[in-house]
Amino acid sequence: MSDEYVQDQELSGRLRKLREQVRARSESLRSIREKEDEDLLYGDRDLRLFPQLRGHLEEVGRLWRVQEQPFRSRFPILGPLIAWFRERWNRISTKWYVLPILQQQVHFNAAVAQALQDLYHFVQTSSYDLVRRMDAMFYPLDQEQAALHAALQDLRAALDEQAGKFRGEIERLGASLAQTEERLGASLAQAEAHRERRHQELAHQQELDRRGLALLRMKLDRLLARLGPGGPSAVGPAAAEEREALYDHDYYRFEDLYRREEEVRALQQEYLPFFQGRRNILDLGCGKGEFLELLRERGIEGYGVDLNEEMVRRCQEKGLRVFQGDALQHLAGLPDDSLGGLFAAHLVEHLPPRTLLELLQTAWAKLQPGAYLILETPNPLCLWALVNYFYLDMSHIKPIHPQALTFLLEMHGFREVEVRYLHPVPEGVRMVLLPEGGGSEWGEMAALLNTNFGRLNDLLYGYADYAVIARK
Amino acid sequence: MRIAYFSPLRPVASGISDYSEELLPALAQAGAEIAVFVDGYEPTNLLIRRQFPIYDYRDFDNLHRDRPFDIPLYHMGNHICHAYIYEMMQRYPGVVVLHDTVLQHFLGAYLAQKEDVVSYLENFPEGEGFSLLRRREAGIWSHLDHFLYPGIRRVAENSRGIIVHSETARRAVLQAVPTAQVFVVRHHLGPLRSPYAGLPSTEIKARLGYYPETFLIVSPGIVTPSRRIEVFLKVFATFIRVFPHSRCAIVGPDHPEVRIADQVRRLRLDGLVRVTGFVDVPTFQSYILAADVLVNLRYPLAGETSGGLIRALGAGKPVLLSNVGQYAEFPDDCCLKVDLGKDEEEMALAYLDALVRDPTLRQRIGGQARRYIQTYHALERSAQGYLDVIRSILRERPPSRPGPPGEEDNVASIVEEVRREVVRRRWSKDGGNEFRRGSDFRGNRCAGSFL
Repeated sequence: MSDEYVQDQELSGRLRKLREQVRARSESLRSIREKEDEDLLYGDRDLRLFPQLRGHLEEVGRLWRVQEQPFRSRFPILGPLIAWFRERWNRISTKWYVLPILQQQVHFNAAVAQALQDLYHFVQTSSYDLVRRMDAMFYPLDQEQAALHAALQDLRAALDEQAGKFRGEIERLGASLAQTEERLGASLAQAEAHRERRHQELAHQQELDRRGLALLRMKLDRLLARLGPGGPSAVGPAAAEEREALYDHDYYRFEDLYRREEEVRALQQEYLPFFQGRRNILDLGCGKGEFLELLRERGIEGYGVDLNEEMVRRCQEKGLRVFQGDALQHLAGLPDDSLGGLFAAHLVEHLPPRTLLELLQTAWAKLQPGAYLILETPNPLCLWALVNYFYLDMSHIKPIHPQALTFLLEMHGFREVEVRYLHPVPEGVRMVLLPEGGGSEWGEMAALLNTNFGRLNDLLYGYADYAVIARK
Repeated sequence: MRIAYFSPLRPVASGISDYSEELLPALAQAGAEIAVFVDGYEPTNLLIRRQFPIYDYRDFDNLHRDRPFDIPLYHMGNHICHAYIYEMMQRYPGVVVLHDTVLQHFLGAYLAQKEDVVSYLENFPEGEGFSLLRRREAGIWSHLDHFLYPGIRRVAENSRGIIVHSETARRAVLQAVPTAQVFVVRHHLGPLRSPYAGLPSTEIKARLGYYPETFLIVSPGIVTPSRRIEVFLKVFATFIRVFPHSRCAIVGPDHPEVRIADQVRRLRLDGLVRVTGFVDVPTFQSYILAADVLVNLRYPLAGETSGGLIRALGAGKPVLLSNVGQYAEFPDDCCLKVDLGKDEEEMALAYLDALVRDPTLRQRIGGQARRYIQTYHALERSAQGYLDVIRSILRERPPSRPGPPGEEDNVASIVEEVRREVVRRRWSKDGGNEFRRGSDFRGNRCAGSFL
């Protein structure tokens, strides 16, 4: 405890309260004494208690004195004479005898009346005094009782208040406990979900590693095979020749003939959401710039690279930012994590496998984390597309199976790889199904045939293209 | 800084003697050069004698002429032992430590000793002075009159600054003499000198002849009519009926107007109240350390701050004190303030009741009191306060050096003598002599002619 003085408010308050209690108690006692003095003066309570007593006493006071009554006669003329005679006769015959007795009676009456008055005063005074004393005795007791009652009320109120506080505290603690339990449960569930997700990620990573290892082994085997009789010099020229062959013919005219700009723009609309809100989108092999136009319309900054001079000029005429050059070289020259997205429609089928691998590897390096890579290419699962579409373009090297492309992307570190099948073969091209009759033999046969037609339709006339959408 | 220090010291039985003996070493420690002036006796405190040069005040003139002091420091109290200080401060104005803001006891004794009515009258407004003097001569003089008329005018007017120990005292001085320059320096807490310091209170009780479990209530300090011993004893008489294991000690000399023994007998408290009489400082402090509760009720007040009270609070004990004047200045959590008047006994009783039942309350109040006193009443802090006041006064008005008496001094003394003669004649003309028959100015006799 510090020795520096700091006022203890609680203690000060407690002592002040004690002082005030004493003052209040003292004040209360004073008022009791004042009330007691006041009570000594209050009125005739005997009269209130015995209302007839005063009347009787007054009557006694009025009647105690017996008085001689004068004689009277009802006769109008002889009456006074008759009264005079009776008066005379009374004085002679009885008065001498009755009067002393009457005086004795009056004297007795006076004594009794006086005694009654004295008694009344005595009783009044003594009872008055008694009542006063009793009041004086009881008044403090009443006051004390009232004070005790008030104190009890205060105590009860304080107790109720405390109980209320305790109840409130207990409820609050209970609620807090429940909340804590809930939070704990949520945390546990979250931890469990996190653990599960992590487990899945690890399993996925493990699978990717396994595939990557297999691929590396394949590459190693191939390199070892090339290092055998031909030596390492065989690698470069072969690719160069392939690339030269690819771009020797007038590809612009070919594209112009078979890939109409409006159709292409309409088909590529659905990729836009993957690049919304991002910048520096690169369209590799941008062709006539249909996708770049779509980006521009949405206010998304992007540019293109294409090898074909005609295509580049066409794009520049449209005011698009497009460079002529080798896609892979351009990509390799960019800073890492710089691209907001990468789009390549119908490019990868023009690349030999090794170049494709390089492209994917470089693309992963140049994309910003979270950015999307979208590759669109003919669907080899659709024979109609292969026949009428893939082999139409002589620069196509090899169709790529969707699963193979998925594998390659995952192997190079892309995640959330999704395959979308696009551009279904027009309905008129597909085999027409037979009408199925209900229950008849023909109907059953037609159903069987329809099932088979369905399978053939799926194989021959499925989706012409597919796209893989992957995220870094 | 060279200070001429005027104060009673032991063997003079005064709280101011103890005060000065505690303060002097602290002032020296704070850097003051001090010479002490007393009234023709040898102080009994060996340490003071060794540490400071002690002179008779009559030697001051020569000493001051040979090597002037920067300032005299006068300790003035309400007792005749301060007479020489009172006279010296009028000759050499300096800083006055006013331990009491009412000097009627002193003035009455001084008047009786010197028969100098002029000196008495000059301490009051004209009409009031004559009236007081007439009443004194006629013996129409009550105990309360000692506290109603301060009588500090000459002290205030003949000082370069006044030091008091509380805000209440400061206000009282300014009310009496509005032009006075007054400073507050808190009464210090002196060093502990009890041989039992550090022992638990139960042990000290045993050493003082009490049972360890006794609940001991102590009233420390000289008993005067203002100490309200009668009230305290009545409270104790009621208290002991409920708490028979409690005992009471009144540690200090009795007073002829109080007569504690009679009151103890009247209240049937024989054997329950110990009256120690005068005790030395270590014993005095031992009682304070042994006490469970201390009682320091006072009224009326002469503006004094009790050293015993500061000691009691500083010892960490709960103290009951009167809720009045300078005592009401203590914070509410440091002491138990007892209202004066109708609630006094009941409130004191309520406090004792609360304290005896709750040892934690005793500890809390005592702890707060100890911390408060140690924080605001530390000896070093008080000493530094003294020196700060003196420095500020010296900065404001440097001391005039004494020179050989010249014509100006002669003129001044003649003017002063004429002035005093005028006052004396006015008093005689006013009819004061009419009541002087046989009176000793102390009001011990009653002059029937006045009535």
